[in-house]
Amino acid sequence: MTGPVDQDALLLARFAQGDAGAARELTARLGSRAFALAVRVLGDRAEAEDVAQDAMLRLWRVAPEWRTGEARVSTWLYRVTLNLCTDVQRRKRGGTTALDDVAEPPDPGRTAPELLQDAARAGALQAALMTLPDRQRQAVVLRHIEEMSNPEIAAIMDISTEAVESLTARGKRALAKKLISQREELGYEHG
Amino acid sequence: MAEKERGLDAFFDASRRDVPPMPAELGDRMLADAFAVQADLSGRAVRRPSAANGFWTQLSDLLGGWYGMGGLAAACAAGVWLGFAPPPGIPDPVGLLIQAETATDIFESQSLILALSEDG
Repeated sequence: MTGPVDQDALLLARFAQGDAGAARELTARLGSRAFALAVRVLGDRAEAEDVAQDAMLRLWRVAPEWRTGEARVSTWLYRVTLNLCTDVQRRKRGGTTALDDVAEPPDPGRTAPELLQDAARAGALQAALMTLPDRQRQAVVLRHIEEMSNPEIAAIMDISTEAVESLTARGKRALAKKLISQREELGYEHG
Repeated sequence: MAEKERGLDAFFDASRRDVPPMPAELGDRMLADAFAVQADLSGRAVRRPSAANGFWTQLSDLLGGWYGMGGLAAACAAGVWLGFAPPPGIPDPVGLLIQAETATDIFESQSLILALSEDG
């Protein structure tokens, strides 16, 4: 594989040789990213904690056999995290429709100044994201929040680049319908 | 619709800034897992030289363990001792192997010229 050296792969090699510092650095670099991704995909912090811990445990276990140059460690971890999220969502669904698990949208009675805050916007987006089908939500989160390229997302989700473009386009259309109407209801026109 | 989608950027920007912080306890649990895996890996590495399929272990097993190895060593030592100090009545193997070079005068004091002259 050409391209920049994968620092995470170097750290993983040091981890496999017993370097405790590498374990700490990888936890700080990748553990937090796995957790953030799981929170955004699952919309539940407790479940996201379990998923992120499980994903990192799999990373620790794969370390001795890791082949540098075949895949980026972060790409591998994102893929494992998303697969674990999908498992959680399937178990939760248990035969009911996805809409049963949709988070409640933010209270429209909240004041405009509150909605101007980042946390409120992020909360509104998260609520809207939770109404999307799983794969659309995963693609939108990776593309527009994690800011990954379409080929990277294609590798993580094991689909074609065209399929990524299709998922993100449909996801954005659905989000726009939900969020823009909220903005108008709240009299929030700009920003 | 494209204009509305562009309006989403403000939400995406806010979400990127509002990164869910990883709880400290979660980081501790991840590290505990990491150290447990490292301990397991180092344990495997320490055990590897004396692993059951090492050469000397296999040889020892083939010869019957420590008892067999002890018997073999005693037999070898006895063989070496007998080679250097044989009991009386048994030819010295060292003498058999390493023949001393000797000169034998078959005519002893007789001269060949003298013998020929006697025959006429």
